[in-house]
Amino acid sequence: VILAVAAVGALTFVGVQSVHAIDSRSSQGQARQWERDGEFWDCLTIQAHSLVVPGERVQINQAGLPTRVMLEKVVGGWTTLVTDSKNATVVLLIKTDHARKSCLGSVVVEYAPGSNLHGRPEKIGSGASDRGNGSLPATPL
Amino acid sequence: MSTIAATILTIGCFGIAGIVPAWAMVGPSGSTLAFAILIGAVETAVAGACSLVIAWSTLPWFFIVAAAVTLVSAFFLIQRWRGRSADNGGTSALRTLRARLPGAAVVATLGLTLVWCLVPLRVPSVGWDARAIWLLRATWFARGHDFLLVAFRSPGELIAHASYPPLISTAVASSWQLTGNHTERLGVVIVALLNASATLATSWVIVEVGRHAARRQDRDKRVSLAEGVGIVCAALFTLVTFGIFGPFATNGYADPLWSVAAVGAIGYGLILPPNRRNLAASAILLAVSGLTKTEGVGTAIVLVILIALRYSLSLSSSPDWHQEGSKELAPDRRRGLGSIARTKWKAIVASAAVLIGVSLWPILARLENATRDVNTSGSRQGTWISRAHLTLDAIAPHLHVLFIAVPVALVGGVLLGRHRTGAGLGSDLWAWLGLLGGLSVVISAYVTGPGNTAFWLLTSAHRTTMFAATAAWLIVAVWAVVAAASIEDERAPSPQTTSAPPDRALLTTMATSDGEQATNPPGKATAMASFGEVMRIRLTR
Repeated sequence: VILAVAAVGALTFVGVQSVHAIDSRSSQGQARQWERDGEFWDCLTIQAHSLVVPGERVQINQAGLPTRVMLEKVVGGWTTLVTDSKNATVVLLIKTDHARKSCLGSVVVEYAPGSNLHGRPEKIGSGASDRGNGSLPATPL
Repeated sequence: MSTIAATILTIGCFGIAGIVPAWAMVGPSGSTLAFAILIGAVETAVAGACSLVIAWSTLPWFFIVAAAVTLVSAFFLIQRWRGRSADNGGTSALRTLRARLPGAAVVATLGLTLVWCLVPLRVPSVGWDARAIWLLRATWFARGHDFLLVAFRSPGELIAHASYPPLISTAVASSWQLTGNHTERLGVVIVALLNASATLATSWVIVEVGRHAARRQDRDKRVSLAEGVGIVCAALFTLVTFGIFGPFATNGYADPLWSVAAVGAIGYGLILPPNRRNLAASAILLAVSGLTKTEGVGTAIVLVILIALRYSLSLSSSPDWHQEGSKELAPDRRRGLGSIARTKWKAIVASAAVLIGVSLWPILARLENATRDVNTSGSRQGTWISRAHLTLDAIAPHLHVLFIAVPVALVGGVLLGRHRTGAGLGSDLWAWLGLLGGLSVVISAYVTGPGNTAFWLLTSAHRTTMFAATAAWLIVAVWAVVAAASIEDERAPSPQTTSAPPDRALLTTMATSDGEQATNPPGKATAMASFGEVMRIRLTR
């Protein structure tokens, strides 16, 4: 009897905790935050589409892991990512620029392969912008 | 097409693709539909492999693979039905079907619990890994062979983990191609429903444990108690499982799927009686686990070996088996032993097939020159000892359930071990070996793997321990059901329930691989005359 009560009791206790946790993850506030997150990534994707076409050989700027990872998420599914600029048709980069029509302060820009990635970019992503206040939900890893 | 319509269409297609093989493998039960959906997902993974190696995109291959598997399964199903009809005029099949179909209360309890667990899908979250790995690779599979091959070999794809197993990505790619709704939202919803299907299949183990425990009872009240506790514990286990998964249950991550599928394989392969149906169920779940994530491959390999070992030992432990050489054996008994030998070989061949199946993707990825995974290649930082310390420190906070599971298992093993084996259930040691085997795979990857293990642990220990934590809760839930079913036995042991030696009960349950025992009056099984007779009944089915 004690074993049955202890085991069912433990399951019930943790089950109730899970109910609360599940409930807290489905609030309206959470939904709005994640809608903002989706809009941010959609914004970057539209900007990238304004610069390169599907299947194009793209080099992502190697400097700065966070922006590199962001760009890989944005274009990795529909372009061919190359590491050598000789094989690339364009080089993409994410720049922080709150003044432009940005996606929460980030803009996708294009440079010619082999250029030093400084100065004015060849093209600037367009078609979408999200000035927002820059707050995105904390993404659990 | 809207996300809801696209979800219904996709899950419907998976279910239709998998229903005949699911019926052939696990028979009718409350979890058959869940297995059908999972088989559909496994078929997309096979389709993805064909797309990578041969041509086209995932969807055409999915149709071909699904049609082929359905035809083969239908052939075996018809053969089996014909055999049964010849034996008993078809009445047994109907009785079995009636006994297997779940009551409305069971369906309502587990269905509503799962619906509640999926409520966070209202929030359109897409996880970091989901966007960077699983959904990104789904785009490759949807775009077809040429693009897939180039992307697989591209050193520019730093974070996509090209060599990871394909199931999540191919299931999502198929949903996009089927519906034309190429959104991350749909991908996340499909992954969440696969998680729910695998969780339902695993929770069903606890319902089955309740039924097995109930079969030992001879009074309706006690039967109801055992079955009722089984259903309640299955619902609680579902809630606890989704609690362990946290936000990853509904944001497109792969960890919940491989973890709960592997735990389900422990349930069907190492806890429930080792009959054809349970072995088939564990094989499906092992395929899901092994085709979902690299940790799942290692864990599935360990579990295949354990399940094969348990099955072989359960055959060998029969007293009659040890007398195989005796010249005094009756002809029917000799025939039975010959059948055991054949069954053993079949088990070995089936285990080898599952082993090859789950190992095939890593080999294929290597043969196709997929970009080396950053988690499994490169130089190692730190010594094995320092990495082991870091690993144990990092995973311990996620395994507090062991403080409950270990004492429960110890007390249960000492006080109720006989009740458990008497109900035809496997020794708890098997489940613990499965848990420790899977955990060892994860720990050894952290200790012997490349790179900085501290960072690696920081970003993954909470997910890689999902398997061990869920398995420990399954162990607790099973003991809860066994203990509840044994309450009356402890107070007033009935001759009928205590007279059956564990081995005989186990073998009897093995013999009734298609659930016919559920239709027998309690105690009838113990009256079966001999082991040879039992095996003959089983093998002529």
